[in-house]
Amino acid sequence: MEQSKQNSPSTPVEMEATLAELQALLEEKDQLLMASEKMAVLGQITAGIAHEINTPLGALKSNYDLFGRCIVKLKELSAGSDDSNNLKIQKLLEKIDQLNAVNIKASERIVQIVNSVRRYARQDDADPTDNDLIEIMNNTLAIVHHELKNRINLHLEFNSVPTVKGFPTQLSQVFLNILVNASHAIEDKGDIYVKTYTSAQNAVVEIRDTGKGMSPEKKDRIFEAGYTTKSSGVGMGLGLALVNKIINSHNGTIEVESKEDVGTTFRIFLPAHQ
Amino acid sequence: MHDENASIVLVDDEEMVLTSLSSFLTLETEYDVHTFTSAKEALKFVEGNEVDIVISDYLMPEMDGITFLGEVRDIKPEVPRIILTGYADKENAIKAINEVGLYQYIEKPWDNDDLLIILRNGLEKQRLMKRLQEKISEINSAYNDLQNIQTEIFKTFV
Repeated sequence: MEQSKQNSPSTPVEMEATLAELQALLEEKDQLLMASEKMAVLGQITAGIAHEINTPLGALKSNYDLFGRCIVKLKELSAGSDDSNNLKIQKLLEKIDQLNAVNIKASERIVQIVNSVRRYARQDDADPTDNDLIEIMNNTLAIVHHELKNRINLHLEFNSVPTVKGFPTQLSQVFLNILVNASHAIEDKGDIYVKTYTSAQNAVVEIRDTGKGMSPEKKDRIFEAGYTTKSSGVGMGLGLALVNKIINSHNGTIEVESKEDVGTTFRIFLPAHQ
Repeated sequence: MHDENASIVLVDDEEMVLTSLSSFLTLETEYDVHTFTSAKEALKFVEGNEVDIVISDYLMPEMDGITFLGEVRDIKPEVPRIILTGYADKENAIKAINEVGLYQYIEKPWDNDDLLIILRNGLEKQRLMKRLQEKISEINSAYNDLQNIQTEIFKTFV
């Protein structure tokens, strides 16, 4: 906009070019707006679902605990006698006990998943809050766990970082997008390194993958809205544009280094909350 | 009242939660457990019966748990009241704990052992409050007696 004002277009061809430029800019903004609205709605729905799951989950978890308690009592009752029927009963009780132990573990796992989803989907307050980036990263990692497990080795190095003023859900969104991209960049097996450290009054989060990397041309375009290297249906090419927008709104910066067939490193710098 | 046969009122619009909770309590304790899917029905029960503790879900269609427990307080202020809540409304629940003076809140999904500790402590509180109330009324009646005697003495001598 600034530029077009300075060099006012004089010929119809120039005017048309400026108009097209403006239109593209507007479209980009529209897309970003739509994407962030979509995320907000999705967040609300997810929080609601997580909340709804807790009632049946509460009943299941409690009932498995009760089965365990009943089994203990039944075992005590059948312990006295050694007749063949009783031995069969004891064997069956043992089996039920083993299965129930699995149920207890499985429901514990669901509790953990729901908790991390709930924390992720929690709607941000109207005003920015003080945030611990390591806590946000840990919650985000719990969500991408299924995407990474068995295929990608995760290496964590959390050095203490100052708190950052901002919106936790948005920051989590940033980490999520970069982690998912890193996972997609790794075609078979590979590694993702997540590191936090402090540098010149900034909290820094570094996410490095050993994926396929990008050419310099690709690298220069990744923060543009609508730019994607994925086949249609996989992404809209808004992920990193949104990341950039969120980091900017938190007064931070993001840098990327990439080498084809070696991997990509994202570094996010967020100013420490004074 | 002994803990063994304490009267517990459970309210949740979800039958499955009531079944789980009451099965647990009947398995592990001698409490007298009364379950209700309707807060209004539960209120009628609280009004007409001896009750030692009330546990209620927060989000219910007919009447929310906070309103319900507020009404329980109006009827029987000495009875400890516990709210059962999902995480999403935890902050509201904590606010309400202060507004309506709740004894505790329990998060869904709950842990049975934690629940039992909260119940036992709640009943202990209730028992102590009851004893305190009894002592206060004993002191009051002793004081009234003394005043009567004093009046008698005055009448006799003046």
